[in-house]
Amino acid sequence: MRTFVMSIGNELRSDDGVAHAIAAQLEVHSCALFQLTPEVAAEVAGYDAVVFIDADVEVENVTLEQVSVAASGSPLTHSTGPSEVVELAKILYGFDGLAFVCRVPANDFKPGQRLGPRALGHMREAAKKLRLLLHDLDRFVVEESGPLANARNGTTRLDSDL
Amino acid sequence: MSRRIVIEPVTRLEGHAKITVQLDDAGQVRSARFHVTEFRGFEKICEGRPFHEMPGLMSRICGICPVSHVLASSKAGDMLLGVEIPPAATKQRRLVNYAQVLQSHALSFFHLSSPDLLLGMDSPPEKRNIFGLMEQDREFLRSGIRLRQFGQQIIELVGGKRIHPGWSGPGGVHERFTTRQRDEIVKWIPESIESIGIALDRLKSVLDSFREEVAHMGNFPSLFLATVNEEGGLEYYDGVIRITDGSGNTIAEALDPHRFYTYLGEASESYSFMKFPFYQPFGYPQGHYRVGPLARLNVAKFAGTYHADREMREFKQRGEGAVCQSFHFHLARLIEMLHCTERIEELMEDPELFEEAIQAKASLNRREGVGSCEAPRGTLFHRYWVDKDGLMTKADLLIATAQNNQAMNLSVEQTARRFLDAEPDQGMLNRLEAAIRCYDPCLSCSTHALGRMPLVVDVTGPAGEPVRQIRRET
Repeated sequence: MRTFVMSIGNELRSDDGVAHAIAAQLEVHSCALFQLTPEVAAEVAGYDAVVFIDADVEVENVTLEQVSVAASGSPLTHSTGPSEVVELAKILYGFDGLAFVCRVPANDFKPGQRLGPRALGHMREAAKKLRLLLHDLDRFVVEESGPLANARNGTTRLDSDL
Repeated sequence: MSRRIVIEPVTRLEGHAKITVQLDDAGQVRSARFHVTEFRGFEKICEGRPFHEMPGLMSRICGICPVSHVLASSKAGDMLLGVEIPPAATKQRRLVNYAQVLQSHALSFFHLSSPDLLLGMDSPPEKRNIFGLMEQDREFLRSGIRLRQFGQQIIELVGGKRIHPGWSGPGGVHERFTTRQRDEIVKWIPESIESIGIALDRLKSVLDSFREEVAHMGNFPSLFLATVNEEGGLEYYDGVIRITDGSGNTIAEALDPHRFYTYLGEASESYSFMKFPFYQPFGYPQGHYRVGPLARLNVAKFAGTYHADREMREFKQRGEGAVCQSFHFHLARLIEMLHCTERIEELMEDPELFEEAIQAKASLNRREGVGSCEAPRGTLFHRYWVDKDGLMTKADLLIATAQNNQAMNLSVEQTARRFLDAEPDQGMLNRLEAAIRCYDPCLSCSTHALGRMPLVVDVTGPAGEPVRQIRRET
């Protein structure tokens, strides 16, 4: 299965760079992005699975879940979120793959290139969860059952399964 | 009783702002203002840093047009070194600047403004976005996404990354341009020219349904300012400043961009963090001027490329001497995209672009440097002062969006007077925002004047009654 990892964040804003640090630990094709924009949808469409990694102030622990597609279409800014990107990829480019988002707890976004204790403390856990997911995605091409099959059906929250 | 209508935040633009409209007792618009409510302060942040760090630092001002800041900053650095950079470096900088204009305009036109233009100003707000557009015309949106991808692809190929590329600095650029990069770029060009042509036809086909908006959404005479080349043609990287008026008369010609501060002044208003630049000989506010796509097409005598020249001749027919309707920023933007794509194609065949010499080496030779270029939203100036060790002592950034500040305020007021009534519906309010979107303002870029902003503090009593006003004027 061709899997694409997209890490999101500004590496000059302390914890905001945690996604890039995690992606660097994974042996998979990845792309570091400052923010998600609509044209990312065209890149997503070329893969069987996409995994977004992002720092998040609102989560207490590392979460890894399927991207829920809800075309909210925020009109506010130049940026979009994983849901919007996947929705665009599906409708505009026929993306039929799996999409996941890994959110890493973070709270320090002041200028600087060092990760704060919160993000740093969750890096290993996030990398471990992502490796398991990537491993399962690799097997998915021959095993069309189990938690990932359920994930494709949208019936399983991977957090608990992996 | 008088009323105030507030739109906050203003949507589909870069940064944070609000619009307020004051209505009188009869429900008529008394005043309308565009307030920029965010503050960045890069002029202060850079103090004490080595000047050669400036392109990297200044690129962080903006995620949409970082290349413009890298270029203006690199050129200010060139001046501090006192060097003329090699032709290959100049052409590489030109290439990336064209790519940036292309991708930024694609974002503005296809992602942010097309929902208004193709779905209608009165379409439901929840549908008036790219997802609504996707339901109506997928191919149109796909082509917009591809055009932005093309611009970003060039920036990434040459600059190393698509946002905040740091490939250029004082004295030139860091890597040679290669035939592999050329081969990647040329394959996008035919499709891009075709897509822009289709978008132009599409926009022109709907303009008739926006007659009222064209006539009343920022239609007023003003000065226009832009960089032009020696022959008076469109120019984005190096040239002289030309200023024309609302009738197309030349007000000033061959002004030196390195001395912009001798003919451009900056005023402040208490309601906005953004400066109000003006042409000094005319004073403030009479000397306000517009910059960006509309201004460039008004000020330049020709484009200098085949397709863009044809479109520009037609464009100029829309005004008498000058096109004064800000609604036509959209049309101007598409013509510029066409021009930039044609220029990119020309550069791909230019042997100088591939030459080995890309850096002029020198130590610090001046204590003051100025760099300018045409950013997607208009003329951009960076002015730096350094000490004997090359550490920044002061910076003055005159940003394109700020130069349209007064025009944006006038546009909001004109739009409010024409379209607003005492009980405004969503379509009326959207027109106020759309008036601002014509300018595609980048507010993150344009709010840096720490310590020079006027400040007004309203002290109110428990029931909200005014008690005292404290003012700090500049």
